[in-house]
Amino acid sequence: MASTSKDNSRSLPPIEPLPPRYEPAADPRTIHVPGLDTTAPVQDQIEQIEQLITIRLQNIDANFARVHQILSTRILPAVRRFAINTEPVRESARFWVSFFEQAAQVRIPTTDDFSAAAEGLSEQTQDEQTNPLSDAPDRTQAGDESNTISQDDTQGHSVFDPSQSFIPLTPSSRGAGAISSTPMAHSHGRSRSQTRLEGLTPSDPPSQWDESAISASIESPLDRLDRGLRSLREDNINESLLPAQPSKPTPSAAGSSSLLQNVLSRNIPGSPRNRTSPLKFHKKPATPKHIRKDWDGIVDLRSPRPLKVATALDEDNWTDSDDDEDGMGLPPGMSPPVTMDFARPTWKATRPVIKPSKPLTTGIGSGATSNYKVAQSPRKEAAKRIGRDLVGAVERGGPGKGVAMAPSGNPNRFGYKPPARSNAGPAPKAGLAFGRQFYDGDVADASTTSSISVPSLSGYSKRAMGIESSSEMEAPSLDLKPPSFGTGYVGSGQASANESDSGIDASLEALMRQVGLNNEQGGKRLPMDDSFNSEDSFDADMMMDAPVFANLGGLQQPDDGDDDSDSSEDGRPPGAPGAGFLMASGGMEDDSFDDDMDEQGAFPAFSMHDEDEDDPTVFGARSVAARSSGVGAEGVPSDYYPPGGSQLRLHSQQLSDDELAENDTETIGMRIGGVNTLGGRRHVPETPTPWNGQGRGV
Amino acid sequence: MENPHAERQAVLLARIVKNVEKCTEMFEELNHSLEEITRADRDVRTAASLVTKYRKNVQYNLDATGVRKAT
Repeated sequence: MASTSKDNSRSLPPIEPLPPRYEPAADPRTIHVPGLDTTAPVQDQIEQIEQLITIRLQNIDANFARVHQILSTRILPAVRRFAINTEPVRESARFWVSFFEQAAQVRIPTTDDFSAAAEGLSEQTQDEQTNPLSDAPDRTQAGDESNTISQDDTQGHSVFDPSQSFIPLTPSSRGAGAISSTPMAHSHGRSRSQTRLEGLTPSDPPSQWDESAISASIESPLDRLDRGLRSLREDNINESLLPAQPSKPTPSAAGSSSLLQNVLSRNIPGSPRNRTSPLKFHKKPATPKHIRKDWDGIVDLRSPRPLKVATALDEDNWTDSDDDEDGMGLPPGMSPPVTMDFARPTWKATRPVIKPSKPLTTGIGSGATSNYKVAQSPRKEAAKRIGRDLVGAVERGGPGKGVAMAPSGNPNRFGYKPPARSNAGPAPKAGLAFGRQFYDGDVADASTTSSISVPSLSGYSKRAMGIESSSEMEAPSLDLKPPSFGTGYVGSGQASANESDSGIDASLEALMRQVGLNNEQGGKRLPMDDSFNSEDSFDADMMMDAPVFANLGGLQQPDDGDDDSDSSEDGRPPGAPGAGFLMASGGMEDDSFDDDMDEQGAFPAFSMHDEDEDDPTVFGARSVAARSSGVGAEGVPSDYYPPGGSQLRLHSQQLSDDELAENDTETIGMRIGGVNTLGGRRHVPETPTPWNGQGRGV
Repeated sequence: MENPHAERQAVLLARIVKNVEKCTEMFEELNHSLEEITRADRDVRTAASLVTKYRKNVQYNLDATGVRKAT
């Protein structure tokens, strides 16, 4: 502060000390005029005096002009800025005042209130203030200070000392000196007539106390509220605006009305008295209209009627920003608004899964086709695709055949041809649309894929599959290189060689490796339906059979020479999904990937399951019986299953789109076998066979 | 002939009066603004007193009930 003042002083000229005040000399001959040449002739001196007068007047004029300039240019603007900047402080203070008012069920006159309250209020208020103090001499210095505070009101109005409301006035406390922090005790100690309390002293027996006040003071606020709400059905709101009868404050009526006022007043939007936070004041609060001009200022505090001390509307002194007819901030006949906690899907409550950064609609599932709809949920589709890819990769799995990524323009590498794009939507970035790269030789797809960025998924998919280096994988470019799925699943470390440090979930990667380890055991045939052939848009129906895993077809790396890409080098069959995958497909009863992540090494992200399914699996919900019976995925062509191979079945037909959309973008993004498992019913041939052209327009 | 000084001085006085009137208006506006600010700050003062008293009562209650040892 000192430095600030010094800085200010440097900028401003120092204030000259005032000259001594001119005192006219009684004797004119003793008048001394400074600057006057006393040796000059008289006329000259007169002339000089006139000139001195003129000069002095000029100085005066200049000074006044300077004052005016400083006032208009610096002081008044600063004061206005101060007023504006301190407005939030006042709002907050007003909020807290209303908070205490509501807590104590009393009315604390504020600046606005004083403009509306009658002046006769002040005298009676002072009487009310003094009574509690006199009745509670054993109070702490709070009482004394409350008096001081009440006296501090420079406005001349008697301020209802808010501290009074916190002075416990229960008879028990008074008689026994006990302290009760219930604010309501004080409110019930007051009444309009004050006949019962004014003469009371702490030594008075408790029997003289108002029983209703006692009961009201000790009753639970919830009880009061409940009682009030019950009486709300009977009471008329307009009638409740009337001041409570001082003679017999009935808790039901008075309490109900006051509670009603409380409840309704709380719903006045923007009102500082109804705000729940001092930080929320964005509009001028709606001042209640219930203050009446003839309010005598006496608040019947025996009944819990906090804020409605008057009934008549005082339009002149209140401004209503709400302009509501009932004065409660609500349109007539409208019930108080209730904050409803709308039900939210709890699917994810117990199944924490890797949540993709982007919805699945822009993820892997879209890789199969460019016709997917961003708004759609591709989870089912993606699940199916992933499942199929995994199954196919396992079935076809050969050593060293990881998921090879088809280069750009080689859609048939894995037997998938990008379907014609008719409804191409915004494609995900390379990371998410990794699967897309397998099947989509369309440059446009790649471009679209690059438009959406899910870097984590790209890193995940490729690294998980151990297919490519990070440079290749992470670049959201048109480089359509299918991942070598096998490496990802192998987990034997080979994948890591190709893996990058992109943002792939470490746990998921580990699971991928575990799944890959199991690939050597011989893959189960994953029933791949033709869901992939369908439209790539993430429709619910398309995801019915979609396996969880995307790009499981990458597992189906052909043994032919087509797989010349950087497939897995781990000797694992490209289609081998890995131990975790197999376990998940075959044995997992719980389709919660997270649950099984540590146990079975299943893909944690492949939790695209359907809650409704009775037998959720890694690949989705499919009954165990169905699985065991060898029933393939729905819609899977019979010729899909490779001959001689154990059938892997993906039972994710009933994966919900929601699940997929929410959680499985990353999983879907895992292009296991270069086969876009998303996109619905895609017929994945047993080998990375050519695309049958029935895709969904990748 | 009028005293030239008088004319000059009359003009100066007129200017002085005009400036003073302006300054008076400015001061009136300033006072009004400050009065409004002060009046609005009453709520702040009230809130401060409320909080202070409440805290005092709470402290007393805690001390009286033995929850918090009075130091």
